Amino acid sequence: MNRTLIIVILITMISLLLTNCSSTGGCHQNNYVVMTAGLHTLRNDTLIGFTLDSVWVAGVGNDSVLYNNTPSVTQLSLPLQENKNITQFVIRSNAVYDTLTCYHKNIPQYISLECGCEMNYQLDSITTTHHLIKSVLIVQKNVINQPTENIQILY
Amino acid sequence: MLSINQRKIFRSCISLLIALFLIQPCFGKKHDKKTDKKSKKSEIKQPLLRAIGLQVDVASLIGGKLISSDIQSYEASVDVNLHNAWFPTWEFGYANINHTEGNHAQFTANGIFNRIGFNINLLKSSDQSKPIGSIFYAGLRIGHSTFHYNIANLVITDPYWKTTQVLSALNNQTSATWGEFVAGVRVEIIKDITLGWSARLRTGLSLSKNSFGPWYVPGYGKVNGSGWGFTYTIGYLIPMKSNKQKTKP
Repeated sequence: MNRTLIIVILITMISLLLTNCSSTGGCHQNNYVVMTAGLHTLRNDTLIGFTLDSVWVAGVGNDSVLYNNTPSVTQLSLPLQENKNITQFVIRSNAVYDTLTCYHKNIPQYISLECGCEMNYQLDSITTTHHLIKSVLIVQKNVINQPTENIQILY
Repeated sequence: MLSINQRKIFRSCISLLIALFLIQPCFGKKHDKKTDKKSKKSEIKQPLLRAIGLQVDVASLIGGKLISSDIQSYEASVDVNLHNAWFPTWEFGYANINHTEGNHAQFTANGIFNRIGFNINLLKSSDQSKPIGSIFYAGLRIGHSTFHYNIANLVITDPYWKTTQVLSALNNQTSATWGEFVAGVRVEIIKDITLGWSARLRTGLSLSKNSFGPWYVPGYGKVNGSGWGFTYTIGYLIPMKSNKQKTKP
């Protein structure tokens, strides 16, 4: 009975401690989803990465700047508007401006009570001006919380 | 203001203090070796059904008042003593949850739950002529719950475009199923009145499909929790008629 009593006490204490050892509260992930635009160029009919120097990028209608004369940029992270279906960005390099227009659907995705929701997007189409940019191509229309290239901007 | 880890340590210390107070029923009746020898000599066949046990869980009641007032859970159980060895069990209850997270998201739910299973008594009964009052057991359960829940005030903010949206998912109904491993003790402190407790490990939670999954399942606990649970019960035994022991001349 003594051994049984010790086992019972141990089980009780361990179970009481474990009931409080649940997952720590709060959210431990970043749930801000952005569209990833890779910069490319064609060389001998082969698509290769392209680097822009001194890039300035801002959302149309937003005073805040996303990239402020940032050097050696090969990829852009562009946040789409969560409460509208059209988002426009101005991209400037070497004093030449282009405007990128994205048409998208907004899809809220529930994560958990602690983390709340994140907004995912589905790209419908993208248009651009052609002062420096040659063309834009959608390669992955689902914009989710993963580092995947969604569009390719050709220079 | 205590940090999350400090609050967990504080709760664990309170739980340990409560456990030290509650283990006193362990000092129950001692084995009598002389009785063992006598009973072996004069064993007669006893009926299958020895007693019916009724228990009410007070741990969930205390937890709801002292530790987490967000969760009100009420639980009772019925078990059947077969040969002082097997105890088929039915546990049932109701839970009502009203919880707000740090990000102001709200979860409310209410529903019933049921668990069926069995316990195996790991202690040998010294006197088979009467139903055993104190047992040390291990067992298995299958749990099921059907409940309604609401999730409200889910805020999505955009730090660049400076916009805010508030989403809700209301009037959801779902069902959940899971398995449990149970180990525990039940001691007869005075005639037919028992105190007992059990530790449980819940696993294999299966939920019906829903875009907005629940935060808490009645009878199971937090969906993202550790799976460990604890019950402390007060009970009453209803003994069945037994064949009286006759000693040989």
